[in-house]
Amino acid sequence: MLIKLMRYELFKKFKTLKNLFIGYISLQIVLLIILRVFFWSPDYAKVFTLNMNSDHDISKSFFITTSIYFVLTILIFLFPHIESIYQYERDLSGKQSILENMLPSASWKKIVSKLTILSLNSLLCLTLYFISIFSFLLVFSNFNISEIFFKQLEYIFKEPLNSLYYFLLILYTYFSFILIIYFCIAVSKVFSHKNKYAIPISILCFIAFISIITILYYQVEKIPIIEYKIGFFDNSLSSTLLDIFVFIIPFIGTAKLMDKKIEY
Amino acid sequence: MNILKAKSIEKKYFKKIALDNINLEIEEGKIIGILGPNGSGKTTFLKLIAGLLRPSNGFINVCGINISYKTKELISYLPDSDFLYQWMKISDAQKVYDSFFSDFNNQKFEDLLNFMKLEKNLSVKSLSRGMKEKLALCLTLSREAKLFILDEPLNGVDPVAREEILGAISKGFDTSSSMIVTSHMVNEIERLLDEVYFLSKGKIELSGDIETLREKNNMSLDDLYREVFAC
Repeated sequence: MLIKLMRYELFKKFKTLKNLFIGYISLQIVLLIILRVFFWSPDYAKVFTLNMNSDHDISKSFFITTSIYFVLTILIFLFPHIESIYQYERDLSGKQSILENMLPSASWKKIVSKLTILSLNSLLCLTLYFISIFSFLLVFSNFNISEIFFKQLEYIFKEPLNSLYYFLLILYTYFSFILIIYFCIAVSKVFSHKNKYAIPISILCFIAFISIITILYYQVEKIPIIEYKIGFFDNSLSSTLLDIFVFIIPFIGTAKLMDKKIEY
Repeated sequence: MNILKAKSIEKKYFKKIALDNINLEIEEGKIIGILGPNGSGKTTFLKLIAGLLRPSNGFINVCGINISYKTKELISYLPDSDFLYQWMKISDAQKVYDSFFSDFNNQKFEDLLNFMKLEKNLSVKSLSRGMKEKLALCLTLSREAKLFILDEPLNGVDPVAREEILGAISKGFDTSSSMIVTSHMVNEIERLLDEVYFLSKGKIELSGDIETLREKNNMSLDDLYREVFAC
């Protein structure tokens, strides 16, 4: 069932977002071509290479077009997270929530499938984000930024274990954060499906949850149990347990609320 | 064999009582009508059975299993509102049902689509309200579920489409299962039903076998409905 749910989530995302991604890529390509054809000058290349001290006038049109390019790039970076939260809210109280909730599956599986597809979507958007930035730098450095790029790659491969640890840590923190938001939305839906009430409830719940875990982290740091170091970070058994708690509580809580409390 | 057993069902929204002490049992092979005016609690009751709402008191079980996600495999539910995504094509909706419900019968779905004159490449967005109702009904009836729940299947459709929908319900019903139907259109739906429950302000006002009720009161179900719900 979990695989079916993942396929369903992927199918939903593909159907709703494919045009958006095509639109984004096309628009970025068009903007890059415009920038290169109409605004590029050899002087700009110096700005975008290692020679950062260059001082050149930049036209207003160039500035505006570049700004549009980077606003879109930032939007694509933020998009999967915002879309996931919006879609989760719709799955709990939108018109189509009935279809979602007629599916014969335990809620925890639905949450796992949503998180899995969110991570794929985020990965895709993150890739587009980096490609956008890299393409821009490539075009404006006159295809001469290999040095900067390879220096970054060199760092990642020089410390593979550290890089892997940071990657997993970011992923874990990200999932915990999304789960806290899901949990707060689920709590609000227990009380009301009307946004007038549900939004303030979920915001209050979010503030309360974040405050509690911040206080707990502060307390745990004061009384560490069994300390160790991974990468640049000092860790302790107590902080690791708290990390697990911050993931597990919203996960179980959201699943229980969806199964036992939320009405559709 | 009882397909559905609902005992002492009560549903409250804060102080408002939506359903009050509802008792209902449905045997295999029966089609039950729940009739009542707007706001009488019909949809609330059906959503309780479908597991979309939770009773404040009482219990419901389907084939001996208490309501949970597991009973969703046994129940085929037609809601009274649009529930399919606008971006879906009919074939997409079929894929979703086929993938999640092991009892979904693709051949039956194709037959029902032909019967309803719907084409698989149409998108939900392009369908009229009546066509959406027909599509939802095709999906619901194409399952080989133990209990079918149809909430206002005739709502918002023209008389010709109504006839087609009633035909599809008769065609799609299998006597090894049971069905609950709600509607305001008593005249149209009367011929489908074996038993009827009149629901008013969350309470069952009258219930029984259709034939017995007709003979006992010497009037049609429609006249009986008007008499029970007359102001």
